[in-house]
Amino acid sequence: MVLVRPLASGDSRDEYLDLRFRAFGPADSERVWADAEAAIANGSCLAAFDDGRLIGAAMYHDMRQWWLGEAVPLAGVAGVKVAPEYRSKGVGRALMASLIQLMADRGYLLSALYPATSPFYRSLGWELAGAVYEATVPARSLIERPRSVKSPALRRAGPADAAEVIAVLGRAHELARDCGPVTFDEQTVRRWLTAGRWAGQQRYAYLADDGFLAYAWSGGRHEISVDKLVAVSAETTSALWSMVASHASIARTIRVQAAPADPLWWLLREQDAEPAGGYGWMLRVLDARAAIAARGFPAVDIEIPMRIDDDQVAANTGSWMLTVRSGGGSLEPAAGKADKPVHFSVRGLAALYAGTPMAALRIAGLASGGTPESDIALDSAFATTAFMLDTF
Amino acid sequence: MADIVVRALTADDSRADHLDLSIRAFGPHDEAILRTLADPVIADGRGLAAFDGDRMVGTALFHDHRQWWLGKPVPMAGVSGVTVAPEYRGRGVGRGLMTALIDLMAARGYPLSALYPATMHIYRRLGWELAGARYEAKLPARSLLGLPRPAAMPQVRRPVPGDAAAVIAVIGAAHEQAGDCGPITWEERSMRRWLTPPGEYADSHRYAFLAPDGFAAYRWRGNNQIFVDRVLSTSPETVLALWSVIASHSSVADTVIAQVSPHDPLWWLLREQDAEVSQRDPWMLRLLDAPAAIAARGFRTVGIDVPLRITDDQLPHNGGLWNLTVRSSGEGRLVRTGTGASAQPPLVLGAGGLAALYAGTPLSTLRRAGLATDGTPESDAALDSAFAAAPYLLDGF
Repeated sequence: MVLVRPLASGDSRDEYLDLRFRAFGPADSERVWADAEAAIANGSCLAAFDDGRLIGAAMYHDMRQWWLGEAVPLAGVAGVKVAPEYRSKGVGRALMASLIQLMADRGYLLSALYPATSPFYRSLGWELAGAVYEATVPARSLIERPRSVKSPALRRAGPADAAEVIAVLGRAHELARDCGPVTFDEQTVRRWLTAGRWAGQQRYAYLADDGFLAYAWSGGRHEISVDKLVAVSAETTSALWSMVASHASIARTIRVQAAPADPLWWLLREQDAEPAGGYGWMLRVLDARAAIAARGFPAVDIEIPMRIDDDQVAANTGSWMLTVRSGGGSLEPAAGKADKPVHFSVRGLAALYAGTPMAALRIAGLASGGTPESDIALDSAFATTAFMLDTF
Repeated sequence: MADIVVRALTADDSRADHLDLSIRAFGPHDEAILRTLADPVIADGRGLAAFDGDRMVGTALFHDHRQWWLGKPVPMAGVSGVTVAPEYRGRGVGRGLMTALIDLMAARGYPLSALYPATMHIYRRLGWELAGARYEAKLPARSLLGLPRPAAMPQVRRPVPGDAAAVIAVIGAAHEQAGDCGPITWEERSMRRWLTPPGEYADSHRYAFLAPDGFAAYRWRGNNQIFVDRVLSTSPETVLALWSVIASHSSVADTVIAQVSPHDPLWWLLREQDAEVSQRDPWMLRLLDAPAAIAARGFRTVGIDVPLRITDDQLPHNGGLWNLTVRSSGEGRLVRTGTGASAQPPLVLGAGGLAALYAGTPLSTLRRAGLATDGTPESDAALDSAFAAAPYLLDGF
């Protein structure tokens, strides 16, 4: 009999680490357990037990995801694992079904994850929404950029800067009207600025009034990996890239995350950046009405009848009227029988939310019904290329 | 540049000289490749050459394309074959050729021009700016076997040269319906040539299939790779049917390289995310006639009214104060205004900034890259709404 309950501080650290290594391979024990302890404290890690033995776990991080100038509460699912001998027995499904309820109950409107396998998460309502785009650039290419006239003040970021780092990142994504990037909670960012992701040996973080840079040596001294370079102004963008470029005396290659519309592509003198893989992330809409109300939209004026089906979250299922007006959206129960509503599974809704064109949704079987006019209207309201700068 | 003469490339000019120049510039290739690209261009007066006395020392030409911008085909001059003999480089020959080519393209009435830069600096100085990319995705061939089976199997047949117009129409219809931004269709003469063996779509290891509402082309790369030129259709069944034809090669091919956009349905059709972008070739855009380019483009269905100040050193007719309006019907207009016509400060763009804006580059990116200044936060949001696009191409040229 499998029992799903929150992982508690009395549960075995060794059993948890063993499960983690069996599922994802070798990792740093201290960092894995630090993540787990934070999730235990927040009640955001669920665990499955068989006769008292830990056989599965899944957690979420408390995040805000930026959607055209608005921050939407997002639960970032991570660490979903089932002991090998318990797989394909419904343990993962039971964990994730409980996690969906927990995330929804706690008021998260969206959930995102990086899938190890897609069909499983698709069956639970997640759909491919965006990607992390990685590229490598010869380090010397970064030197040959136009220099900015003004050089903003840069300082090394420490644990006490956690709130400011989050504020700076958020403001940059808000003003850029980015779709998809996330900010983490203060506790997590403070941890990263203390040791781990953004601090410690070979890992560095810098803060400006309107920008943030985190990077690390990777693979010895021949590569610098830029974890994050985000800024509001042209001056700070240029100054932060100059900092990275100054390593060209030693490093040959710079690994960066650059979405298709990242300023870096336009700042490079020559296009000698090469794609270096990337990861797709999936989105789930936990609360359709609230998620639409929380997203930013362009100034279109549309009214589209929709039918949404959601096996997991009953409240999302139904006939709705989507209205977008003056940069805001609303989803209200349809009054009476609508003419030619567009049909979405909750997966199709997630992909639409992330800006996937209606033509692609139809071919992929994620949308049906509606009219050519409603497709154009929906594309105008949602069009974007969603990206992230964090993996989790 | 004093003794260099730039004039039209004609059928009387030496083919051997042209091939020699082309190989010196681009590396080894067959004469057949050059002739396929250059002959229709020369016949139509779309090529220029630079001469030092009798010696051909540079070329630049353009193709006659239609580029799809949110449901509308815009005449686009696709610049190609820009060469300068190595010993004549750094002397302004390329700039002389390109300046003359800009004038020729504008005189021929093309509102837009695009190119794949071998080096960006010269083109940036002449008003081109990065607009989009040609993407290749790499995936295990067997992954395609996991695509859903089509509900109905459409009629799929091998196209013949007489199908050129039908192929162009089918490709165009797919881009129109999808609201794609960036992809092109070629003129009929080139398409007929490609469908005639030995051609791009008909050769000993190059294949194409035509359905009433779809088109697919692919080729072998060695014995274990299939390169997919494109799979396009207005109907979900036909897309799945065409992919299933390609998937059938997974018995022999290990890997498929497919030209797809970041929003291609393939990403959502794959059962697992085992495809990744393996190649990204950026292309640049230039507006040759700003009001005509705006009038010809499709826009998102927002109402906006934004003052612009454009500077264009090469094409002064694009310069000055303008008012850009987009109506909720998705139609745009660029109308010349005078100083003080708008209470709002105009957004200031060079030719490069205008091209990148046209291609849907967010204003926040344009500002951080130094391609746009002034204006207001409100006009930034309005322009982003109207132009939003993620441009791509499925053709190299």
